[in-house]
Amino acid sequence: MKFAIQVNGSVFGSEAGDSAYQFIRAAIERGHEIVRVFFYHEGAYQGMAQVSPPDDEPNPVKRWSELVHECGTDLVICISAAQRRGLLDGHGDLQSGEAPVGRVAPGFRIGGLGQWVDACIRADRVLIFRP
Amino acid sequence: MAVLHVVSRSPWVSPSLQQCLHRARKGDAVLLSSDGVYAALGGSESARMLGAVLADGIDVYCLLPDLEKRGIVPSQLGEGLETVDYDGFVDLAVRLPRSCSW
Amino acid sequence: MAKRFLFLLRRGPYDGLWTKECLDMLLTAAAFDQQVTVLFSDDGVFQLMSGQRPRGAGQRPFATFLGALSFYDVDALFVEMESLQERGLKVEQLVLPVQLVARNDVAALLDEQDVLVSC
Repeated sequence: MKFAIQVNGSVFGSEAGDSAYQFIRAAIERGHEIVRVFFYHEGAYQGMAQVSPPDDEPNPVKRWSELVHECGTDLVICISAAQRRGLLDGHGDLQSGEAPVGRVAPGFRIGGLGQWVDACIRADRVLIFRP
Repeated sequence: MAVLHVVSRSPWVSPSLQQCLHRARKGDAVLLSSDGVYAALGGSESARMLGAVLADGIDVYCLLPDLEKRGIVPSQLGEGLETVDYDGFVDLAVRLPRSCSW
Repeated sequence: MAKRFLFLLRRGPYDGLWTKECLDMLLTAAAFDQQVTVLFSDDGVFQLMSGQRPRGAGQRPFATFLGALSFYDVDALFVEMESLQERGLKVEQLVLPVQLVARNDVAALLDEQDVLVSC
């Protein structure tokens, strides 16, 4: 099965991100495909490079970057959600796909809501993880 | 054609569970995750509500890692409520063609 | 072939950005020629109340944004009857023409869809 996943919770505001991550890992282990993970609403914060928990605590953002590195999963942060929440620099000329270096964690890319709709069209199943 | 309803909020904090159960029907499944698992505690009003929907042909599952995190063991759950791990969550999402997160 | 999306709008119009961003998502699906249905239920019915007058620079009544629905040909608009009744509202107080659906019939509406987005 192909899954489209949306994550709506911020890094430390709820368990939405953790739940999504665990689901995605289990789905991949079971041979399913993740078409895209789309980070919307407060979920845009899941890609903030500056998140810096103490060393003895988990780093959810780093975990997402590792997922991309290991599995090539497509992680997209909604450009309008990111812009509103100050993840991007000012009102720059960011094109979809670009991510300002140092602001967005490695492995994430920026994209519009069309990326979410496209994922839903291509997937067999759609799951939304919300706070 | 059925729906996998996912409820992740405690019934004492949010009306999500009740709002979900109002719109679920026979053949659907409800998965309790995160603080939503508190709804399954035996003896609670919410567990009574879940028991009623079981009788209506709606399966109810609790996400085991979220129960364990909260110190809840399966024997503390309301009667008939099952547990699944993330593999089981994936299987539910595969089996039921659409999902709705409340 | 277009997929059938149902957006359940269940929160009030001014609960942070949540509802506005749900509307953006809904309109994007419509712009991508998907078949979009909207169900206003629970506190979502408050989005439709007439006479909203937010104060403050840049604030617009939420109904302004709902005007975009017709622009994108999103005309399958449902309101759950019980949600109105529980809140003491009447259809005449709503800013858009809607179809009423009974709570008992919502499950059937959900079952007709490919993608459910609960906002």
